[in-house]
Amino acid sequence: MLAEMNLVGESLQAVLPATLLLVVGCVFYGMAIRDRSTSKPDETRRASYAITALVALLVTALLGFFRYGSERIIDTRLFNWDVTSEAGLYLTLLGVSLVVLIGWRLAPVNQLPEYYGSLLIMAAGVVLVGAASDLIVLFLGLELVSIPTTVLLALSKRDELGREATLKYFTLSAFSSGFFLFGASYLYGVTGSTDLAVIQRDLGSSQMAFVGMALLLAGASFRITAVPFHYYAPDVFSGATLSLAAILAYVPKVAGFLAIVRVLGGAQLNIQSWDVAFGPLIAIAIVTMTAGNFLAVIQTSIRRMLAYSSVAHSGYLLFGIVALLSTSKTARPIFDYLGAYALMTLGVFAALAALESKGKRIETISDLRGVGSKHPWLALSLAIFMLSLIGMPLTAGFWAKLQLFVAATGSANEWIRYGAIIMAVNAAVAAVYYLATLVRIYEKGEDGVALGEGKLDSPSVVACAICSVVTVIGFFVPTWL
Amino acid sequence: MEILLPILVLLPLVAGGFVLWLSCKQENDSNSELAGLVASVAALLLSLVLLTKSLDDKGALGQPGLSRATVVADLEFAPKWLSLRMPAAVSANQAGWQLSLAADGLGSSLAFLTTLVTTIILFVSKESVSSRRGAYAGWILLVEGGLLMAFLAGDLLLFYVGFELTLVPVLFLLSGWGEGKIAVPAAKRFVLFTLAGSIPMVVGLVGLASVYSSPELTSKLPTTVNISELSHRAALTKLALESNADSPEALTRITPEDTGLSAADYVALVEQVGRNEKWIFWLLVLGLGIKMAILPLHTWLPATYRAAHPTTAALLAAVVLKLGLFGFLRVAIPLAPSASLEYGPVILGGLGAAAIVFGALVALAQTDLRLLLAYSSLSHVGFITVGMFSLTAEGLTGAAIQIFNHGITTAGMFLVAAALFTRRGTWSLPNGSHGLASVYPRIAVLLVFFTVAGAGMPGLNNFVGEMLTLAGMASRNAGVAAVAVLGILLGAWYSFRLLMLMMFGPVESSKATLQHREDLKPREIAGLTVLAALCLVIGVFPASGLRLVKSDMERLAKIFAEVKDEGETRVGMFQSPTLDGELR
Repeated sequence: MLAEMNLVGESLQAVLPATLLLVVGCVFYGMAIRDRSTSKPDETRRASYAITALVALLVTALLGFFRYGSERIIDTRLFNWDVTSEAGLYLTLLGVSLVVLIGWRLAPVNQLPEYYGSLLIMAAGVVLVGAASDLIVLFLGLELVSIPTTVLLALSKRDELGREATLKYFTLSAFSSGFFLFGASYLYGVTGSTDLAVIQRDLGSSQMAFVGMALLLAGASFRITAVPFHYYAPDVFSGATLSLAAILAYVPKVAGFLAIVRVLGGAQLNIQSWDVAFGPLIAIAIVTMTAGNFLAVIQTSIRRMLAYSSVAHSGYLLFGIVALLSTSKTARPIFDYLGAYALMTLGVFAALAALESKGKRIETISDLRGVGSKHPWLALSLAIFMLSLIGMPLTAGFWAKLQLFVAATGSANEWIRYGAIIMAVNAAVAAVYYLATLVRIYEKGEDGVALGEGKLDSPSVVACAICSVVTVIGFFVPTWL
Repeated sequence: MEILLPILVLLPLVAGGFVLWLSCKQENDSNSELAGLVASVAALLLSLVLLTKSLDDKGALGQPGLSRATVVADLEFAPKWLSLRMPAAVSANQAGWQLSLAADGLGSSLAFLTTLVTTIILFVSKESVSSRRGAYAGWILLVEGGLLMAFLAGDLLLFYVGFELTLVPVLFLLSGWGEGKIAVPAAKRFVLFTLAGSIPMVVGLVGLASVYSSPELTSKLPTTVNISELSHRAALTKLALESNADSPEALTRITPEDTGLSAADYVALVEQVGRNEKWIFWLLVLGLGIKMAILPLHTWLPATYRAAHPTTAALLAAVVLKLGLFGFLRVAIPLAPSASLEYGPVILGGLGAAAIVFGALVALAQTDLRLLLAYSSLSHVGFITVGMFSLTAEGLTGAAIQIFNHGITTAGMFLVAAALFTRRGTWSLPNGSHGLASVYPRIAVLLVFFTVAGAGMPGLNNFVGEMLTLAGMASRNAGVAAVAVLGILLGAWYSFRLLMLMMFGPVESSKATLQHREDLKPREIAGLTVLAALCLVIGVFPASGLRLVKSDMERLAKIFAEVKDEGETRVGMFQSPTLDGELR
C-alpha cells in the first residue's frame, strides 16, 4: 500500500509542470465568462493576459529548475522524469514564451481568454508527451496538443482561407490520431503491454511489430509535418495569422519529436529490435528533407517557403534520430537542434510580425525588399536567422547540424553515411532560398510592401532580439543550448 | 610572440565591423575609408613581423609525441581557454576541443599575401570605386579577417569557420558593387556554388575528426580537431595501410609509443581509416575544388569575375580562391594521404593539366578583358594543381610558392585592367589593334610587366614556381606533365595577343572614344609598383621565398616518397636515417 502511495506521489511529481500549465489554462478558459462584461481598453486586456501567461510559463520553468535538478530521475509506470522530459519542458517553455510575445498584438481581441487558455493547454500537452512512459499517456498528451490547436485556428481567422485551414487541420489531425491508435494497438497486441519500456524490450521484429511501428510513426509524422503528411502545412501557414503559423511551426513539431524519441527509447535512444523502426524512419527522413527543400525553392510566398523549410528541418531531425538510434546514443542532439530551430524559425516569424504590424500583410519574399536600409537591426537579425537556418558558422544552427553530422559519421551503417551526404546536399539546396531571402532584404530598388508608415510592434521586436542574440551566443557556447 | 596570431586575425574583423558601422552612421565616406586603410596597413605590418618570425623559428616547435606529424607549426597560439566544451554527443573528451591558431611557412606566407593584396586594393580602389567607399572597405576587411582565420587555423574548426566567414562579405561585395543587372545573380551563384561544396565538406571534416579516433578507443585516443595531431595519426595509419598490403610484419614496427595504443586497438583504427578515407577525401575535394575552381567545377568563376567590380575580382582571384588550394595542402593531402596518393596524381593532377590547356585555349578566344583574365587565372591555377598533386617535394614546394606568385600577379593584372576600364569605359578587346601604349604609357609598362610575368618569363616570379611544379609532376607522372607543358606555349600566345590588341599598333581609330586621357595616378602607380617589385624580387632571389615553405612541403612529401631500392624496405619513411635508428 505504502509503495503504491509512493508511486502515485512520484507520478504526480513528474507531471507537476504539466498540471500547473493545465490548471492555468483552464482558469483562462473560465475567465472567458467574466471577460465578456469588462469595459477595459483592449490594450490593457491584451497586456494583462499576455503577462499572466508569461508569468505562468516562468513559474513552471522555475519549478522544473528547482524541483528536479538535472540528476534526479523519476520513473513510475506512467510518467518519468529524465533528460527527455526536461528537454521537453524547456523547449516548450522557450517556444511558447516566444509565441506569446509574437501573438501579443495578433491574438483575437474578443477571445483572448480562449486563445491563451488553448496555448497553455497545448504547452501542457507537450510537456506531458515528454514525460510519458506509457502509450496511453503519450496519446493523451498528443491529443492535448492537437485539440486546442484546432480551437486556436477556428478562433483566429474567420475568413474563407482560415476556415479552410481549420477544416484541413482538423480532419488530418483526427486521421493521424487514428493512425497512431491503430499502430499502438498492434504494439500492444505484440507485447501485451502499453508500457513503453516493455514494448522497447519485447517488440521483436515480426511483421506485426513492423506494421504497428510504421503506423505509429505515420501518426507522429503528421505532427512533425513529414512527407507525405505535410500537405496541410503550407495551406495552414498561409491561411492563419502569423502568431498561429509560428505556433504550428513549432509546438506540434516538438510534441511529435518527443513522442518519437519516447517510443524509441527514453534517456537514450535504444530499442532492441531497431530494424523495425529503421526502414520507415530513414525513408521518411530522406524523402521529407528532399521534398521539403525542393518545394521550398520554387515558392514565391514567404509563408509557404517557411512551411516547406519547416518540413525540410523535420527531415533533418528524423534523420538525426535514425543516426542516433543506430549507435544507441542519447537524444540530446535532437533537442539541441529543436532549440536552435525554435530560435531561428520563431525569430523569423517575430520579425515578420513586427513588420506586419505596420498595417500591410507580407505575402511574397519580394515584399521584404528595402528592409535592410529602413530597419537595419531587424534586417540584421533576419540575416542571422537565415544564416542559422542554412547552418553557417557564427550561429547556433551550425552546431545543430554539425551534431547530426557527427552522429551520422559515427555510425557503422552504410545507409546512414550516405544519408549524411544526402543531408549535406539538401542543406546546400536549402541555402538557395534562404540566401534569396537574404538578398531580397538588402536589395535596392523600389520598396516592398513591408515598409508601411506605421510603427514596429514592440513585443515582436523583443522576441526577435532575444532570438537573434541567443542564436549568436549559442555558437560560442555550444553546451548552453 | 604567439599573441601576434589572434591580434592579426581579430584586427581586420573588428576593424571591418567598426568601419561598416561608421559608414552607416555618416554620409561622408572619407573617415571610414581612412579607418579601413589604417587597419589594413596595421595588419600588413603585423603579418610582416609574423613572416620574419616564421622564417627565424623554422621547425622550432617540434611537438613531443607527434614525431610523424606532417603539419608542424612554427608559432602556435593555443591557450587553455580557447577550447570548446562540446556536447557529449559530439566528443566524449571531457576537456573539449582545444582550438588553436598556428602559423607555419605556408600559412604565414599566405597571411602576408592576404594583408598585402587587401592593403593595395583598399589603397588603389579610391580611383575606381565610385560609391559607398566606406562600406566597401568594411566588407573587404571582413573578407580579410575570414581569410586570415583560415590561413592561420591550427584546427579544422577554425579553418572551416574562416572558410565560410568570407562568404557573406563577398556576397555583399559582389551584389553591392558589381555590374548592373548581372551582379546579384552572379553573387548568388558564387555563394551557392561554394556552399554546395562546403556543406558536404563539413561532413568530410567531421569524418576526419571522428575517423582517427573511435568510441571504443576514446580513452586513449580522444577526438581532436588539431590539424597537427591529426596529421601525425594520418601519417602513421598510411604507413600501416601500405605495409599491410605487402608485408604484415611491417605493422609491428610501429611501436606503441608512436600511437599510444595497444596493437589490437591500433589495427582496429587502421581498418576504420581504410574503410572511410576515400569518401572523406572526395567530400573534401568537392568543397575545396569548387572554391579553387578545379576544372569541371569552375563554371562559377568566369560569371563571377565578369559581374564583380574589378577590384573585387582582384581580391577573389588573388586570395579568396587560394582558400581551396590552401585547404588541399593543409587538410586534404596531409589528413587523407592514402586517398590523395591513389587519386591525386592522375585524376586531380590530370584535371589540373586539362585546366591549363583548356583555360589557355578559351582565353585565346575571349573578346572581353575580364573573361580573358578569368580563364587565364584558371589556367595558372592549373599549374598549382599539377604541382600539388605530384605529391613530390619539388611539386609541393612549387605549388606553395606559386600560390603566392599567382596572388600577386593576378592582383596586378586585375588592378591594371581596372585602371584601364575606368579610362576606356569598356571591357571589350578591340577588333583591330588599339595602340593604347601611346596614350597611357605607364599603364602599358605595367600591363606588359604583369603579362610577361604571368606567361612565365625567366627572371620573374612565375617562372620559379611553374618550373618546380612541372619538374615535380614529371617525376611522378610524365604524361600529365607533358600535357601541362603545352600550357606554357599557349599561355605566351594569349598573353601576347592581349598585348598586341590592347597596347600596340596604329593609334588613330581609338583615341576619339576614350573617356579620360589621364594616365595612372600616383596612388595607382605606388600600389602597382609594390606588386611588380615583389614579382621581380621573387624571380631574381627565389631562394628566400622558397626557404619559407620548403621544409614544410618536404616534410609533407616525405610520406609519399616511394623507395626505389626494393631490398631495403618498402615504405619511404624508413629511408630517413633518424627514423631508421628509432625503429630498430
